[in-house]
Amino acid sequence: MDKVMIILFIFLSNMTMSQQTQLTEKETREIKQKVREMAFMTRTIESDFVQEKEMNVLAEKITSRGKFLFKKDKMLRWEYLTPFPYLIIINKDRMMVKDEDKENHINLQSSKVFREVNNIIMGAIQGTLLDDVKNFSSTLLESKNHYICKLIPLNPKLKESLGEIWLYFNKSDFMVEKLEMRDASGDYTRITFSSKKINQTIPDEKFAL
Amino acid sequence: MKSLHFSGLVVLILTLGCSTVKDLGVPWESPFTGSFEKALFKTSLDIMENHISGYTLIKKTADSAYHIVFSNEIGMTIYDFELFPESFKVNYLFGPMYKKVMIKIFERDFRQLIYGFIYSRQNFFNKTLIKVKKGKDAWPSEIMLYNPGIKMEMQLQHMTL
Repeated sequence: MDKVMIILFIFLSNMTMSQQTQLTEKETREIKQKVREMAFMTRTIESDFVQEKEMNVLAEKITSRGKFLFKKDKMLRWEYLTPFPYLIIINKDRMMVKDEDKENHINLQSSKVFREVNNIIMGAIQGTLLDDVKNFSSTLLESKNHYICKLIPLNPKLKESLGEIWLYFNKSDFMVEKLEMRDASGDYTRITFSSKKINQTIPDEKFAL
Repeated sequence: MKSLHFSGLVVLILTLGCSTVKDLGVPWESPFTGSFEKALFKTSLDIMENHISGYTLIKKTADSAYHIVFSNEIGMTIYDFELFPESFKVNYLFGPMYKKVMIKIFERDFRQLIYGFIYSRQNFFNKTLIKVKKGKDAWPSEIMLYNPGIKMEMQLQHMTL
């Protein structure tokens, strides 16, 4: 059974790979520059999202939906609406996680740890994580509709917890349209953004802690 | 610097919380046996003054074999176990919880929860209390597991899959 799974896995991996082409160094540089420019021009993002946790071995999927707001500099509201409410707010140096009636506040300023985690989250959303050579090794590929940046954490423990991060950039606007966290077992969490609005006014109250 | 990321993730998924449950008596009539196939639960796990929430999927994979996966809201797997009548397989357990004693506790508690039987050697450190809230259908709407020895409390709220 295990052998069958391995062969199937290799076969499917190859199929996926064949649809993606490796980019040249020059192309990679150009795309990275466009992502940087887009991130620089983006003051706010408002978007819906669908999160799917795929458990391949079990052939099961857990789907959550929510709304996401981002405002420069370092303000984020990540809100799950279904199947249950769950809210994460990051406002510069502070962070709050709300689960039903439980609220947890974290000061990011007092902890270098959290600043780093915060940088990963902000970098993934804006796409600038593809420039983080200190913490990730990255490969840039091209598919029909996306530029795909595959990021592998250099820290093995982080790699174990988070797995690989794949960022899917929309080819027309160079923004992250989809991101995936893939663990070694083949399970992955995919977050797809939709109804994205850029640079609309978002009041600061949305990020109030 | 490298270990900072990991510690950050640890603290990121852990938040404070606690509560108590009453012993309603064991063994209990497990809904996981018989024609059970799979179930999804909104889950909160309070363990040694840490709080983790997310979703647990329990699926019967063969006769008397079960797969148990718990992941937090953002999709990170906390644990992935396979339970068999004679063995217990850890596919994944979140780093800081990866301890022999924790694995033993999870095995024993899930064995009791799923198979519905109790161990003959009962003492304070080897006892898990199960509390059940009846739902509209045959399924309990809520199952609470309390292990007083290590102050572990797991709340499973049944969801439609």
